[in-house]
Amino acid sequence: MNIIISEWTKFRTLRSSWWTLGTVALLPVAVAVLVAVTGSLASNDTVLAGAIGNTVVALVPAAILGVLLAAGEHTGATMGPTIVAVPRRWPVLAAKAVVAGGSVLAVALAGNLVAFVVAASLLPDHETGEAAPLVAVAIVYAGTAVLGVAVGTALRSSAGAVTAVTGVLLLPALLGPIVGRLRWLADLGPFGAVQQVVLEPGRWLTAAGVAVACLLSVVPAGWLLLRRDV
Amino acid sequence: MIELINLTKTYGGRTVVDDLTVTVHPGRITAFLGPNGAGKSTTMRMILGLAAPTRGSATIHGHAYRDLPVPLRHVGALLEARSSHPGRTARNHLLFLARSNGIATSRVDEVLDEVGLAAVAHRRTGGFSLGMHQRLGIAAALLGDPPVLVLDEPGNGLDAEGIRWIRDLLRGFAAQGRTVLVSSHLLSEVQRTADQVVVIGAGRLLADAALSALVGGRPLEEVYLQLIEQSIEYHSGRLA
Repeated sequence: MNIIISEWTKFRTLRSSWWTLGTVALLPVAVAVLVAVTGSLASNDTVLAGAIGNTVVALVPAAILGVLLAAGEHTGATMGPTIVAVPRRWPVLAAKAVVAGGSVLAVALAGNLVAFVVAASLLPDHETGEAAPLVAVAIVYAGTAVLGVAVGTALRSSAGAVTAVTGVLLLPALLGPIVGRLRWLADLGPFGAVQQVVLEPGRWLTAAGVAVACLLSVVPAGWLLLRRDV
Repeated sequence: MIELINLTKTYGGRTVVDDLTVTVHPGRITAFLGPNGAGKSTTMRMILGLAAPTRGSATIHGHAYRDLPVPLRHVGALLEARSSHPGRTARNHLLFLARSNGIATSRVDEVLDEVGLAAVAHRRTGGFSLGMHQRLGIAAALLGDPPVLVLDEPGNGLDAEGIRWIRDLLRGFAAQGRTVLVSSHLLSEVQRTADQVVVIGAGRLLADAALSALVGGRPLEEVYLQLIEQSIEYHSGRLA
């Protein structure tokens, strides 16, 4: 518990954390409003699918938040003092996952809920769809933030890890459409998971699976953290 | 007490620390000397669990550093001077360290005051001078009021008043029966402060003796340079 409080203290005492968290909160609302006012929603689309389905871009700052929390220790040279204070090391990684995942879960839930409500009020002619999948969407966001922590821990460089994690997020969506029969690959990442769950709310299990896979990414990262010299 | 037993570290094929066996006793200031690249920092990193020994062991009061449940209450460490995030204030840097080991917030303000940083506690450390970074690092080492101090060149970047302050601090610690291991290149300062001297060169132990016995009335600088020179001749002789 002390270590979670310590990691939360690290998080809240840097401005970059709040900028990134603010982006995760506001981007879904901005995107949903954009979709609504440009009239780009097909007439048979629900508000959930049309507006929330496009807020996936906010997954990128969610991942970056995780990266900054982990790789920022190397860029900011605090890794030495941190590991001297917690020499068992793995509790630091676990606490970072809790702080990144927890803060993003709360903020993504609020941001997407506001986006949904705003889009629904701007698009009175469309069917709204259920609000329940928003929870699954927020869980995928939280998983993505934890993935950022894992990649940041493994690569130890903010710039490198931001590039890598953005690639991991974007590549399935970019390559999926051009690989023909392997299109289902596009559904495997967090982007695909969010889009599936808003298109077909029954597919929350897929979203949960992607989130769990993201959580599990801390295992190889933890192995590297324990094995390497600081 | 810090015990190094056959402590060895190799990177690739290069041996950086070579079979060091040294005991650092409480109640005295032990100076840790050696040329740049001799393996002093690597040795300290192994003592603190940051680097894993290739062979041998480093223990503190009989325990590996990693096994200390609340390490900051056992050992205070200063490794690199600039080891705070430039965007975080001095106080917040110490605060997260304190929280990780369950140390009270009041102690953060106490150590800030003790190292003379109370006035800049709420300033971000990106604008700090080397001396201020050094003081912040020493504040972090003092947080848990530990019985053992491991300091890598704490005098770097400190002004005359700062050097005197750290000298008095270390003497006070040793006088209270605590263990102090401090690396330095400032030999005249070491001669004024240290009780015991450990010298390494190319990762090997060259001397481990009481200061008075080692120098025998001569300047430490002279004795030290002689030791280093002999070890180089010995090694090159062996190679030839």
